[in-house]
Amino acid sequence: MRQNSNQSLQSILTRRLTLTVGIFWLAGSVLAAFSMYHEMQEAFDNSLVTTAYRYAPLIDDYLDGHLGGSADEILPSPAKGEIRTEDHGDGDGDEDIGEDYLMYHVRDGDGRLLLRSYNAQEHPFSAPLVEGFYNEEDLRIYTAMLYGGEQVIQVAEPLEHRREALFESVMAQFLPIALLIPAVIIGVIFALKRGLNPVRRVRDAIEERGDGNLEPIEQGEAPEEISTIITAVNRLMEKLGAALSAERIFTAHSAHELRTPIAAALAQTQRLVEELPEGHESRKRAIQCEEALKRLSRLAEKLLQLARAESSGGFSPTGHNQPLGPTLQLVIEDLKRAGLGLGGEADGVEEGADIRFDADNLATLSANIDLDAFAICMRNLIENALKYGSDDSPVEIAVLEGHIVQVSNGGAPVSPEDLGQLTTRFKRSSNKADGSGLGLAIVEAIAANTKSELKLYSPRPGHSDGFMAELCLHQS
Amino acid sequence: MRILLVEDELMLADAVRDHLQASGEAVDHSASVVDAEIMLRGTNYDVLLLDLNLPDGKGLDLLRDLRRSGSATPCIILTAQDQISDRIEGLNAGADDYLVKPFDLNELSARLAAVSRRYSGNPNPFVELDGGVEVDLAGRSVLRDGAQIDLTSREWALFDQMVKRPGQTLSKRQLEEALYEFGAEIESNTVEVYVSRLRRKLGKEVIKTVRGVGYRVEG
Repeated sequence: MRQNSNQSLQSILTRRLTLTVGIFWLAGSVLAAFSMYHEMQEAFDNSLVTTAYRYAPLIDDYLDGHLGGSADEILPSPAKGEIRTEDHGDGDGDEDIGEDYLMYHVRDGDGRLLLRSYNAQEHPFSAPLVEGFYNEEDLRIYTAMLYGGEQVIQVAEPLEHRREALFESVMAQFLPIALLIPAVIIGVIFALKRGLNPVRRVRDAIEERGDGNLEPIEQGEAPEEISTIITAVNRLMEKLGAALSAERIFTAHSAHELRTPIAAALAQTQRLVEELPEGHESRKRAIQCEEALKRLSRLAEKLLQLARAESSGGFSPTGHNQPLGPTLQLVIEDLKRAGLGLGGEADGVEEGADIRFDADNLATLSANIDLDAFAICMRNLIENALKYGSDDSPVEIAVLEGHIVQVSNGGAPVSPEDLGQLTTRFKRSSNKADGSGLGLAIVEAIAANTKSELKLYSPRPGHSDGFMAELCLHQS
Repeated sequence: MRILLVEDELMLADAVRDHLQASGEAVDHSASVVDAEIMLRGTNYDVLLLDLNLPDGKGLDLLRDLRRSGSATPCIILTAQDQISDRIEGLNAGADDYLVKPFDLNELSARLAAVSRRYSGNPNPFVELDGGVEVDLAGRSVLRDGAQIDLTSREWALFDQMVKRPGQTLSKRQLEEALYEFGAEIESNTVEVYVSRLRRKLGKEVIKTVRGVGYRVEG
């Protein structure tokens, strides 16, 4: 029976693989982002240094031409076209130079502000006039000493710009991965589904086994790991089959070995009864001996049936449905003959057994059960009905839905307390006590081993009296 | 009836043989497949009582060989194997009935009589003969004009052969086989002696002589 509460290997592997791949991707991306951050910082810093030294001669020229170095001045913005006098591109004059992020202050050796870019603040940066980088509140500033310290240029870049650039770069890396994760999950599921096909096949094959079917599982094109499992399972099933077979043979042999001497003793005793004259003292004892042997025979029969029904090597489903109507009719025929004094030894069946059934109805019966197990069940149920039913009411046998057999009889109803105890060993109905008290226990044991179910009703449904046993047989 | 009992359990075989002989049947006993095959080749038995587990082989194999050779000798299997599948296998192999050990000897007699009647072509156990004679083959009783007639086991064995085949002439040899088992001494006039005794008890017109052929009853 498959345990549905357990997670499937496929779902576990899918989840773990996706999680593992996701975590590694995430870790890789974070490392890449850190690396990118440092590289970008270097590139941006390098850009500040380059800008400072490349602007130096231009600024010098500009100061010479415009102010003579006497006052601070705002440089026009190239991005706003303020210094563009002619087209530098394809002639249409619409090139987008973009927003200026860099700003700078040019100061003299005393720190006086000489010149600033149009987007720079009016007051000097708080960075000291020392060559190198300095972080202000939200600016990254590079200070370059020019002409031996006569002029100082400070190029600043908003940190926000750097963060924005970093964010956009990281997102450009993360987004495709985030979009790829569902595709990876689908890919993993598909690959696992295909990869686990051999496991699924072996699982189905093993599930088919066990119910009386211990045929070896075919290797097919199973991968090495699965092939090893199949070999091991086949070896185990072979051993199990041999053990069950040995147990079955032992039970069958036990029955044979026990019956033969009882048969000899009974036959010899019956001859003794025949040969002794009527009224002879020993004849009475011989008759008692004969009765005791018959009881012993019936009890041994039932005990052997019970032993077989309860043993692991006993009855189990055959793995396929098979017609049971002919077997049931054979059992009924046997019991009818027993009732008429023509049949085998039936447990307590009296003469005049009246068993009613519809042969066409019985022919519809089909279930996944061993013929011998079914015959033993039906023999016990019918014997029980004949034994404990009222003499004026026939035993009726009916088949419902092709796999449910009902055996009902008349007579006084059984109390609910007794009804619950009837499948207990050696429990007899209170009104008659000539049975072995094992019949229903045998049927219950066989039903349990063959996935069938025995239900007892009293009074029988639709009547105010009687008893009905319903055997719901397992169908594959 | 002449019966071959194939059974290796000697205590059981002795009791069965004694019981059947006491009922007037002629019983030969074999405890092995090989002996049974030899006996079946040499004698026409009315019924074969066959155990399945024999020391030198399976009873079912013997039965299958018998059926393959074209023999229609009725066969009742006596076995300690009680499974329905064993029984179906036995019936499929050509057995007419199946009796599980231990069994009641009277039950065995009843089964023998039923199988024998089925083979005689007249499964009805009640037969009415000329001369106001009524026979109950199952109950082994004979009434003449309503009065019970007692027959000895040998008289019954001979009469039973004829009653089961009313209108059919049975040879003296056939009737002798119904009376004697192996080893028994056969007198040349034994059949005539018993026919004479039966005529005295049942009336002269019941058993008719077919000169040079044998005897028959008319029903």
